[in-house]
Amino acid sequence: MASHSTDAADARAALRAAQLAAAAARRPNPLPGWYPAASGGLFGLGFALLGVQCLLPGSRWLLVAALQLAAALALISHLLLARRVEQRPGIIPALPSGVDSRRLTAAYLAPLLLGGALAPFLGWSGFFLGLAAAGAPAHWLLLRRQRDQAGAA
Amino acid sequence: MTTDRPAPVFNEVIHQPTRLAVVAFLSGCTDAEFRAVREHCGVSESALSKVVSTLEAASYVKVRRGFVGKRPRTWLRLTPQGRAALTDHLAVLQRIASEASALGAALEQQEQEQEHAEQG
Repeated sequence: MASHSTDAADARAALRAAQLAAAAARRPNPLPGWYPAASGGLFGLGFALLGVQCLLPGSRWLLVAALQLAAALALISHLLLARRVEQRPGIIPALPSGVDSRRLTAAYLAPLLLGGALAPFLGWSGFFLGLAAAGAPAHWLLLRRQRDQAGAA
Repeated sequence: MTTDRPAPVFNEVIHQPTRLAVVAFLSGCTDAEFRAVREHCGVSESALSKVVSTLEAASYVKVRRGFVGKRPRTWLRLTPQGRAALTDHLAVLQRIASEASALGAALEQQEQEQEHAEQG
């Protein structure tokens, strides 16, 4: 071990400074309470509307167009909300802290797997509905977990 | 159980306060812009440049230069070696603090025992 002359007070001060610095890069404030539900809801709504419009016959083109527009609005709102709430200038955030990497992978893979499983039976509609059904709760749970962890830190 | 990983060592490169702040800040994110790190650490541009050069020479930080539009930007990222070195260094600091607390508690207990012995 390299020789050094750090006493316990120095060590505690350095540890505290390091914890504060890492926390500052993560997030200054916890996510707002409404955000996990809003983000998950918009994600689910957008893909559910896309799935439903695929089920409609071509003769109902006006309704199809309206659903496509509503789906686009919901998904764009989801992205804009994420950008507004989560983005921090000059910092690319790390993966959600406090979430096990295997759970994180499962949370992102589950919607794709469910969509893929429904696709052979319902086509694109099944894929989108699967994404909506699994993606919305996955988003909500991950963001809520992230918020709880930030609040506990 | 034995592990192949060597025991954590006190890291003189990281321990300097500004370097520790920079490395710890970078450990909390994937990448950070030079300016964001400078604002957090409250140091001048030249001071941070020196710190980053030292950390880059030790392979603890990776520097990436690019442009956003026409404006130059410098991005900093903690390398896996840097992350491991920080983890080890914090473990050593934690051990120093814990040992001091344990020693303090042992001394206090010894004093109390001596007091009891003198009273008895």
